[in-house]
Amino acid sequence: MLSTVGVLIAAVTATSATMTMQLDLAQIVAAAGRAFVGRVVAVHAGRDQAGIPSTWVTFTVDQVVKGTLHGDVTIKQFGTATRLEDGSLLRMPGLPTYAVGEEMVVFLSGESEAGFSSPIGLAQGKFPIIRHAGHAMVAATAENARALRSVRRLDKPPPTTAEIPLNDFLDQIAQLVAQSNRQ
Amino acid sequence: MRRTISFCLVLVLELAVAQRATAAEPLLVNSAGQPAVWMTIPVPYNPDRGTLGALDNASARQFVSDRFQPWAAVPTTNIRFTDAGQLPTDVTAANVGTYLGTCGDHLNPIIFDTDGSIIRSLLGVGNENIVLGEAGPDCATTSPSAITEASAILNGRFIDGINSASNPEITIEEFGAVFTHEFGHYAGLGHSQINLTEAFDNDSSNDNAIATMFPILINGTEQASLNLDDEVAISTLYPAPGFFASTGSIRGTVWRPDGVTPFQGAYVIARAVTDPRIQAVGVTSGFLFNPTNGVGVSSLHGYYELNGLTPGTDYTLEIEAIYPGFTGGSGVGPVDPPAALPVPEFWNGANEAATNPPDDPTEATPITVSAGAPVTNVDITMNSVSGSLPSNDQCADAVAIGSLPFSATADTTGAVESPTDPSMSCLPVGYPASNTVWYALTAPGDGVVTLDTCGSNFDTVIGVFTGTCAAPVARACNDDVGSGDATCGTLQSRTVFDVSAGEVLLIEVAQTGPPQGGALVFNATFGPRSCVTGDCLPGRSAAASECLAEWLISPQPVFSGRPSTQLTCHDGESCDADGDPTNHSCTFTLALCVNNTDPRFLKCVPSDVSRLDLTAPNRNGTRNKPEDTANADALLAALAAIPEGVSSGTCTNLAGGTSCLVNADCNSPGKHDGRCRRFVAFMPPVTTPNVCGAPAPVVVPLTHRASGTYGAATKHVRLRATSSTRRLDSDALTLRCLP
Repeated sequence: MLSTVGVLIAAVTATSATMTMQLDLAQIVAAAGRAFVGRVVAVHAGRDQAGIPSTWVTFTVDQVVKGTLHGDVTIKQFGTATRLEDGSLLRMPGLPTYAVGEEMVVFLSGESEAGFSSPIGLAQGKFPIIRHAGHAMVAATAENARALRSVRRLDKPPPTTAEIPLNDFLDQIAQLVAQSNRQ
Repeated sequence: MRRTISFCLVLVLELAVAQRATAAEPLLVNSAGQPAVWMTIPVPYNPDRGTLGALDNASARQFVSDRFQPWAAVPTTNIRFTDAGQLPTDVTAANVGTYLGTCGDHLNPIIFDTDGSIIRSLLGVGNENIVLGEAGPDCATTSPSAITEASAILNGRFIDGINSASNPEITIEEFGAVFTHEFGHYAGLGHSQINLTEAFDNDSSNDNAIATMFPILINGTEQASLNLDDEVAISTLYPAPGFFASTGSIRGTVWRPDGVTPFQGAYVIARAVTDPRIQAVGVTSGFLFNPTNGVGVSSLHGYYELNGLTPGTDYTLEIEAIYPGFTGGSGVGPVDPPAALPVPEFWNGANEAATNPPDDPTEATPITVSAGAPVTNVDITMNSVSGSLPSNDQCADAVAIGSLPFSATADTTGAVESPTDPSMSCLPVGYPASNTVWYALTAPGDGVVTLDTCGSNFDTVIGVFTGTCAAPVARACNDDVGSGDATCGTLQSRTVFDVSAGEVLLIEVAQTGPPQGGALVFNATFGPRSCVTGDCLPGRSAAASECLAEWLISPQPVFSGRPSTQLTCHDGESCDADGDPTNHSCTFTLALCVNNTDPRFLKCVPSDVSRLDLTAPNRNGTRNKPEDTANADALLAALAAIPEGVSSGTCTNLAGGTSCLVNADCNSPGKHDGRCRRFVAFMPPVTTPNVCGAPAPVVVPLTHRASGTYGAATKHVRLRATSSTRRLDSDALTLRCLP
């Protein structure tokens, strides 16, 4: 198990780096075990049965994009974004964080034997949804900008693309899922 | 086709306030401006006992040693690395938790995830084919500013000799370049942006100018070798004896156009005049400035220093913006998202100024450096580009909106984003806003404020804040109105929100994205409350017709998520319009709004409303209590007063068999067994969007018990709105009064 930290060194900070392959949307769709449009309804951090700091995220699913899902989805993601009661904080580089109420299209990895799951390509597989004057849009982040650029009808320059209509995004995904299923 | 690998810098394990200052500069800096470095030289690492893809353990250990070696081989640094002995066991998915993120065990694990199973176990099935690994400091202290432990995971699945869709491969050179970069982080280095142009020009012939510590792997062969910027960075952190005495240095501060405010986050580059591409060193202004709780070393604010320069050589000095995509784990410099610059420019000697003339931003004045004698006070004052600096460039200088409606135009090309400008909540994390200008508004009453930039000729964003310029609190935000509003412009902005009389609003209007600006048109209007802000009670009906009619409640209830169909109020509280806690009754205030463009109901497109049926309370119900009839009268009067169309109150028989011939029938309690009910018809139908009727008081008396005490009571309001095309919105609302 990951041992508790914080008691051994008085003022400790740490930084690390993760290396990931950058993916386009087709690669994300193909690699995802399940994907959906959903809203975060609960986020809880703690230690799992093996004692590993983990974050449990529960989504209500508005629309299944890939895979078969029934009802709400809860994932256990490695690490924590906030300090646990014992003072420890294990934050895996590149993994996304979540806030209750946040809407997104998320492409999830399959669940590992240890029960962990996270977006494909880490934060590359999370596409926040924002609403402008009633229009649902998929927002670009530093991590998913490459994937969004591969979506048609994107009319802003890379890599700081702003957003595209959710419906356009979902149309593109539907085509990619169908293409992925044929292969 | 080039594969792209990103290096993602994020905190792994954190026990104190983190401080990060990236570029080819320190990864960590404490509040005193001291970089975190290893105090133990040689820097220890503990390799795993297993294999790494196709590499046996000995080869894997050699691979790691080889990847540390470029850093140790720099002649002007004293950093060295040492294999401090293998880990006690072969690390697998089953025991990785014992080693990862553990401070105080004096181990610096270099984990060989030979087949990706550790990555798969921790990050989920599929990510073992995407994540190459991670590396960097795990533990550090702020006093002294020191790295104490570090770790790395190397995903051997990428070098196992199998190349398929389900098991991708990269070359050992690329894998090596990745970990040379990562071991730079292990040593305490951040990212470099030197030679951004060469990195992104898709021309591999000039990739030798790209630093190993560039945030993205562009060229595995070239970036496997350090360039001057990398060498200077490691030497500045771990200088060999004589490094500073034998090389030159340029130091100074970057100032905003006002000449008095330091600027954090400009990338400052010194280039040798004779070899500007290769003999180039960069650092981010303010890279050592890391205030904690608002307190930092003020002299480091906007400060830069460029070391390791060749004595007797002439250098030009320039500033450029950090690439906007370098955010989060790919960040460069202390400002995230990167700060926008009005314009890149050179240092121009005696002509250095905020304006041109005399300071032509393309004109450089060379600086000659000498060994051991830093050239100091080489300050750059940022030019304010083509346009002049608007008077309302800063929040403190916001233009006060005197009366509404308000409209203004401005040239924002000269406006600059200030480090103190708050981020816009409607922009994705890391997405910049530039060319900011400010307005201030005091709400003239309770109602709805609409702000827009319709007619502007650039991509805008509006952020609204309460509080103060020093401590703004996000209130509303909009980036684009979207393609559904061609009259405004797809990339222009509009935000609509409720306000209370006297509320003070700070309004930030900006360019979405990198600096540009343009001709801004800014409009502000004020109107009565309606459902456009998404704050009404819809009553729950079919999604396509939910917006036909909604109840607007006063005062505005607090909803969390989708509002329920029940309003609850305690006698005498603010929701009780009579305000009397002793009258054993609650008075709810309801207004009906029709044809609502409610942002919550995207599937409901307002068309028209031709008829409203109030089915509860029933004006002439046989079991009516006095308040039921009064409530019905109040509601019907309010419905009939909706200020559109020509309304006519008439009478209908819901049973269908017996006619209600005259209004008197509907006004007579008990008439036709209570089946005659009044409705309101609009001829022509109401077509104007977001029309609200007058507020109507609906009284709910508490239940008077036989014991003489009072208990909770409930009344129901039910209404049907019908369009001319027979779309139906059936709304139910429950009003509950509590003692």
